[in-house]
Amino acid sequence: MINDEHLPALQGMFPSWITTVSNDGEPNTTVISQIWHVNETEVALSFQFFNKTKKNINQNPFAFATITNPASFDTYTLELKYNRTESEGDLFDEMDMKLEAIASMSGMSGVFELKGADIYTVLSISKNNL
Amino acid sequence: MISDQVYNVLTNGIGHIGCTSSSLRPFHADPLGICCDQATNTIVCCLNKKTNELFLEHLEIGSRVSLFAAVISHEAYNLKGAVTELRDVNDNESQVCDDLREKMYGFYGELGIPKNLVDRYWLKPTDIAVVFLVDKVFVQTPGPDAGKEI
Repeated sequence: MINDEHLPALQGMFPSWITTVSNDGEPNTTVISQIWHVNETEVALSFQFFNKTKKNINQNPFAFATITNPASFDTYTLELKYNRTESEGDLFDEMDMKLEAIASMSGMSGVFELKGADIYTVLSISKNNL
Repeated sequence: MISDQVYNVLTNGIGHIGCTSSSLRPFHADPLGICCDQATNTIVCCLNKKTNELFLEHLEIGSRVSLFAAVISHEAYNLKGAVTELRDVNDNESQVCDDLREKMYGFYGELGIPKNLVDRYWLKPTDIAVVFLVDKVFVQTPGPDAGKEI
């Protein structure tokens, strides 16, 4: 499902946006710095804070996200379903290192601790340009 | 409810508006211009129909929506409310979209991004207006107040 065409949009050059819904039907749309490529059928989001997105996902596992290829401005929408959280391993370490580098550059080293890599199954991905 | 500070972000920033289906599946769309009436707490999001089909399929009068809006400084707000109207975009709203696109040329130009790429996102017909009545406003600027209702 995720192929080479989509990978530039999963590098974190441009922010992504994501919408989740609470179990009482209240949507929440927000921007996140990066959606990470895991494999052909999965992506990951960083879990750093117990924010509204995380609360909603704990109630309702579905999410809708948009990613952007910075070279072409092609955008893709993804329908996602939360699968699991990983708190160790190569993906976790890679995310942790990048987030710490960003925090360090902004003078906030140690503040944005990565609690986990939330892994989502990609239900669909579609190009969104005219 | 909508302060001048929030108004400034809404009308000068980039927004994304989300909704939910009856089966609680989320969707969102990308406004190409946002108009705000502070006196009536009403927001108008101007959209392109074709690139926001999934969102529009699940939107109806009364739907709850969440509008995230942010400017380059990272100042951001989330406005929630219920849809009151789905209609054509009027001339004034169309002009707001044109003006915002011109601002985006300047913003992206400073980053070295050419106009033809900017147009792939920003130059689309705005052929539907989603109008909603705001009942909650949240700070979404990263920091200690993120998530706080104002």
